[in-house]
Amino acid sequence: MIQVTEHAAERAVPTWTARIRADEKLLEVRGLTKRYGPGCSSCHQPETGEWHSSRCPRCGTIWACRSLDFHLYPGEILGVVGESGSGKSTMVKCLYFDEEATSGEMTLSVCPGDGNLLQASSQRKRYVRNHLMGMVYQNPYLGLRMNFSSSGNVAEKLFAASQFHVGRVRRRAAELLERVEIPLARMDEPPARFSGGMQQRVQISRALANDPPILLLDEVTTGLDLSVQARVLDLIRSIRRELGVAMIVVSHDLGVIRMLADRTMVMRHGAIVEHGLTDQILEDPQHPYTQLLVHSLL
Amino acid sequence: MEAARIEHTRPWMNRPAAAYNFAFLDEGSKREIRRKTLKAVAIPGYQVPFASRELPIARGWGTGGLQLTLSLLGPNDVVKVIDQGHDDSVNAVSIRRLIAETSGAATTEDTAKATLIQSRHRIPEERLRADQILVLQVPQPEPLRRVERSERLTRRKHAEMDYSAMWLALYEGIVRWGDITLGADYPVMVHGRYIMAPTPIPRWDNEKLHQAEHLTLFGAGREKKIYAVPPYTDVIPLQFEDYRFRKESFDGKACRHCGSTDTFLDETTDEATGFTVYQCSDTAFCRKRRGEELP
Ligand SMILES: Nc1ncnc2c1ncn2[C@@H]1O[C@H](COP(=O)(O)OP(=O)(O)OP(=O)(O)O)[C@@H](O)[C@H]1O
Ligand SMILES: [Mg+2]
Ligand SMILES: [Zn+2]
Ligand SMILES: [Zn+2]
Repeated sequence: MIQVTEHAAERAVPTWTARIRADEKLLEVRGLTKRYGPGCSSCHQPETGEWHSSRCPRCGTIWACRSLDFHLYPGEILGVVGESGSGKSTMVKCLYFDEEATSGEMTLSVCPGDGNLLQASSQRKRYVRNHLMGMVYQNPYLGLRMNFSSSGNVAEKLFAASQFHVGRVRRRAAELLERVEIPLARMDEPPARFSGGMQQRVQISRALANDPPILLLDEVTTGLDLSVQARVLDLIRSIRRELGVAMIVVSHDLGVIRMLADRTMVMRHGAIVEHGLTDQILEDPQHPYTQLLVHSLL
Repeated sequence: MEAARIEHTRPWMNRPAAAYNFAFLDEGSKREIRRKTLKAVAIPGYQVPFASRELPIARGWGTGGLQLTLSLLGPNDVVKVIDQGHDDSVNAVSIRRLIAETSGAATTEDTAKATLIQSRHRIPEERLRADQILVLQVPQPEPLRRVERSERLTRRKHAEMDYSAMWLALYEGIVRWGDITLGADYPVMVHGRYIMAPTPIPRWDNEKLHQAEHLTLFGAGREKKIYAVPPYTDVIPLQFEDYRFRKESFDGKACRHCGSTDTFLDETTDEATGFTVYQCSDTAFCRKRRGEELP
């Protein structure tokens, strides 16, 4: 194995840090819409009114996200909760450009010149994915190369940021993997050999590789044992505390949302039915659907 | 003897020459290949798709290179064909014959006398000049294929210069074996833009593409791709700052025929003694060095 040696502060501070202001919205999304299917005359303006499902009864088109408006402040954790099929994963995939949004706008305060990033060039989108956002997928097979080394999984992100010194790349990978409590001795093992909780932690370290100001976490603890869940949730909280990363945390589990999120939005049938401070939503839910969710938690 | 046998097994040899267009291909096909070649020269290292023709040799036996040669050929050209450094391998002989018989072009084994050189797995030792074109046969044009199976995605990676997966492949070799372990067909960065497969030439030959005086064209018949390295183009092997590209080393070895210590050597066994010996892989160059007059 190649040795990893200690070296302090040899990384450049990312250029966007100077541009972040605590009182300025870091991410702003307006009218985000994602449709699977052609749409028809009876569903062509899906943002209006309550629906009984995200599927148009006439043409069968799925309106997975219907005109979502929200924002994120620096260092803030925004929770997204809702039943299965409500469009949570589709929403974060659109933000990370894994899915192409049907319409809508997304702006980042750290790249004001770009305007609507949903319409940006693929090179620009790639820059955002590699430098400004990190993604942790619901399914670790989507986020990791299972049969490559774990250090390589992190290193790939560093290569994307034009770091081509193996020694330095390995030191950074070791630092990130240690941060998520993967022992140094196992840094070159493939994630395929790891438990579900460890795989999620490797995903987190990969997502953090280039110090992005935003992390997207999709059902990061779903399917994990309770004790393992608690450890991952602790890790996420400490990352926010120490690195000041803003996060969008998606979960169908209100317990996870309660532990992590400052603000929460509740999704149903592709639309946001309620949003506000997490405490408020849990204490005094306004929408009947939220009331149902909260009461089933109690 | 071998050549004579081949003549009989090649169907085009048995028909009258007049049944074929000059240099075998019809003018429409040649135009298509020349257009795509011009595009390839204009975008160094970029793989240009082209309408690959059927030829009376099997695909995968150099039809891509042959189509390039036939489309470039004029009556005054002098052609040299080599296969892994040899002018007299079965494959080289049959390709050379097809070219000569269908065009009447002169052929040579002397690199310096050739205007057009078609090769597989080697670049001649003698430095090529501005008035010469090298055509390389390509088995696999896509350098990213080892990390991405989908053609749609490799095209997108090239378009976006998204090469981190390629670097990851190099990195994994280093983690596993302690060094870069790629051999022939070592990926190169062409003029700071496209990663390119130089074809399975030894690493020894990579530097002959960098800032060369001559034009190199690459033809993949089965994969229907043409690409090019024009003169004075940067061709840099992929390497990390702390793990560098290294060509094959023949330290302390010399060619058993010409004594050369500055050529790419093949390892072989001396029939008489049973010892391992070395000899120039570029056989024409070796003979020339020994003062032989080449045909
Ligand atoms: N590629 C696709 N093609 C068609 N429909 C899709 C596609 N992806 C998602 N959908 C549909 O879009 C809707 C939203 O799905 P999504 O995965 O975003 O829900 P979710 O809120 O993440 O659910 P879960 O809690 O189960 O993860 C669902 O009705 C789903 O069937
Ligand atoms: Mg989901
Ligand atoms: Zn409809
Ligand atoms: Zn020799």
